[in-house]
Amino acid sequence: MMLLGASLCYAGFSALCLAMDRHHQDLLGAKPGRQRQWILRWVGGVLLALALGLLIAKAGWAMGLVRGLAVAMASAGVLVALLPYWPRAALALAAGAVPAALVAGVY
Amino acid sequence: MRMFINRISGLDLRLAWLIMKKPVPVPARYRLGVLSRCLAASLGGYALASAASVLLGSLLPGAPAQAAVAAMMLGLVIYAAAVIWVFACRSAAKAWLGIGGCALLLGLADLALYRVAAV
Amino acid sequence: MRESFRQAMAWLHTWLGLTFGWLLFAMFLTGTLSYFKEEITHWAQPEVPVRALDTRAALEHAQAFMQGAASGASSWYIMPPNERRSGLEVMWPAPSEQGRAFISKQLDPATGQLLFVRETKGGDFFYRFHYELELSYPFGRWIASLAALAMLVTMISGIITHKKIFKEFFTFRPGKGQRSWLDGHNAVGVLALPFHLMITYSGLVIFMAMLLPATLFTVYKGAPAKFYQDVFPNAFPAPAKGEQAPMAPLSRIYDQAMAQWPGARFARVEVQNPGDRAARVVFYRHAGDRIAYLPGASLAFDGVTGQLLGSSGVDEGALLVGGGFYGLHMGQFANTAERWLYFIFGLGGTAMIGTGLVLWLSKRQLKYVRDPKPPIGLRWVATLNLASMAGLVLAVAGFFCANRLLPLELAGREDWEVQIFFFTWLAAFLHAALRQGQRRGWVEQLSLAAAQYAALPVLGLLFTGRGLPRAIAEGDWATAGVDLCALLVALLLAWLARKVASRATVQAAALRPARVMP
Repeated sequence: MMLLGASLCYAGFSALCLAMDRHHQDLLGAKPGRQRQWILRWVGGVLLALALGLLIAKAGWAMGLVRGLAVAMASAGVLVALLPYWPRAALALAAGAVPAALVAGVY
Repeated sequence: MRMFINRISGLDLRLAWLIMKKPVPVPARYRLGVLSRCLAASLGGYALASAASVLLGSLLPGAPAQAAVAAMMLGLVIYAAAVIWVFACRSAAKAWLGIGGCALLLGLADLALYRVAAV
Repeated sequence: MRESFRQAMAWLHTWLGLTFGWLLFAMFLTGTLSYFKEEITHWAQPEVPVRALDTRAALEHAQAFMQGAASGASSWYIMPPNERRSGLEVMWPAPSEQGRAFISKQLDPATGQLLFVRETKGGDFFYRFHYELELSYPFGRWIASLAALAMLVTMISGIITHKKIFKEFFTFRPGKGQRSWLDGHNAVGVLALPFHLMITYSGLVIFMAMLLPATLFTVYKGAPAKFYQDVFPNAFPAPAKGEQAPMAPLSRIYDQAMAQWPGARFARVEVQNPGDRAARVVFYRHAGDRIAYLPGASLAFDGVTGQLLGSSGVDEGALLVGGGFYGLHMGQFANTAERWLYFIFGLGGTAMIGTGLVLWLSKRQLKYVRDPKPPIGLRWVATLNLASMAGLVLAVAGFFCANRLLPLELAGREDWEVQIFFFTWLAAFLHAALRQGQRRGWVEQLSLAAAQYAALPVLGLLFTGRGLPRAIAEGDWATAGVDLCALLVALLLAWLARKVASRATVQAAALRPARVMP
């Protein structure tokens, strides 16, 4: 479950990252339009909330919050570490991590 | 004459230092101001935090153990906030006034409560 | 020009960070190691066998041993094995002439046999150091607490100063000299901010009764000790009656305890007044059974009849919140994955402090790149940076090597290991002073440390009965883990040493400096 939570957080943070002008430009070549920015922010937020919600549902408020924050911090760290060195891998992970975690049944 | 220990002059000098890249002696007044703030933050802040914690411990509802624990936890936050405030103040004198004044007021409140409880 | 709030906070962050940074680096590094203190202790005592976990049998063996060895003692303490600690430890008060508080022995949990185990503090050395600094009570704790408060204020001022905290949330630009160091400092700080704030505040909460004694004094009307009676009601034994009475078997009492609290783990079993009619057995719940650290959670039984006397453990209100902070700091509740996360975030905090110290120096050294003699203050900072960071890493390696190399029967062996830790640190400091904290000193200390860490698995293979291959074969992942991590650390340090050696000295001056801070 924590791995699924981490994947969701990673995808969420990636979306929030892309919603920023500078990162969107670096990664995808052009600045995002207003609408795209809005969508990315919402998607990012929803994914993060979903991760937290799943972990709380599985383990209760206390453990759920602790695990939620832990995977959020860890996944943000992984993203920031990958971005400057392997940007395409970072994006690929954002797209593929959640489906992979679901398929692997790691929950 | 009002004793106005101002950290601004020290900062102006250090900015000049950065630009000129020459060592400029920092005035004693600046150093004294910094020392004064450090004392206000560490000692004065502690007095304030302790007095506040004692007051909270006496006023908070619930079993003594619960009130004491809540009070001490809040006291720590107050200590940190006091330190921040001392260094955000416009002058060291103002910092002392604020911290000292609050600590004194809280201390008096503590004393009053103690007398009331003893009666 | 009026100095703004943000500029004042930047000044505070810079100077408070420097003053306490060296000490905080040491506290954070040793504290981070403490998350694996049981594993490190296990690695440091290869004589303790790895057995299948059977708490009930272990308690039986412990009772049999204590009845023989400690029948006259006023109390017995039994620490049964658990998933992270395979040994069975027993303790009882030492006679006053021995000069120490307790006699401690280790037993084989499967056979009850007394084990000869090398005297070592193991992981507990790092654990105690990070909050006591190996100084006498209460000075070490007060200094550590002062540093913790400074850390909290430094973090808050750092957050206030970091204007672009959201804009630069994902920003890390390597290969740009000082800009990269600042990005790195901000990244480890901001991305794990909840962790850092929690660790710092909870550390203060753990010592709050010591730090704010006036509160307990007033709330308990001049008798602060009553607070501990409220929180640990079962810890205070009734006086002995003086009549002998046979004790109930601990295994039977254990069954009752498990019936009361199904699935619980017990960290400690205390027998008060063993062999007396007023004997009492207290089973203390393992703190890791829940997040909140509630050390008073316990079950008390009559030691002769085995009857349950009562349970205790306040579970609500401010005590639960305080216990929550305590538990989050200790991380006893963590499973393996969570424990590794604690370790990684702890290293992140250590790196946050380390990068801060490096940044402080490099910003000011920029002015003196072509000057052969920078001011003495900067030279001291450079020396202290090297000694407190690379020097500490060397000292830790020295401690581990000492554990492998010191003779097993050496008297006071555990104190010798600690002394070697400090001697190594002192030597590193002298070396750092000699090199004036410059690049060459870093390369030398990091290289030496890399060699020492790489040597650890080899020393383990040569000098203990449980080298790396055997540990892996037996599934002893604690021992194998420490050895493997030592190898990883060696590689990392060697890589760092090479990076420092190859970097051009003028590179920093050529690059655009980061924002100017007063």
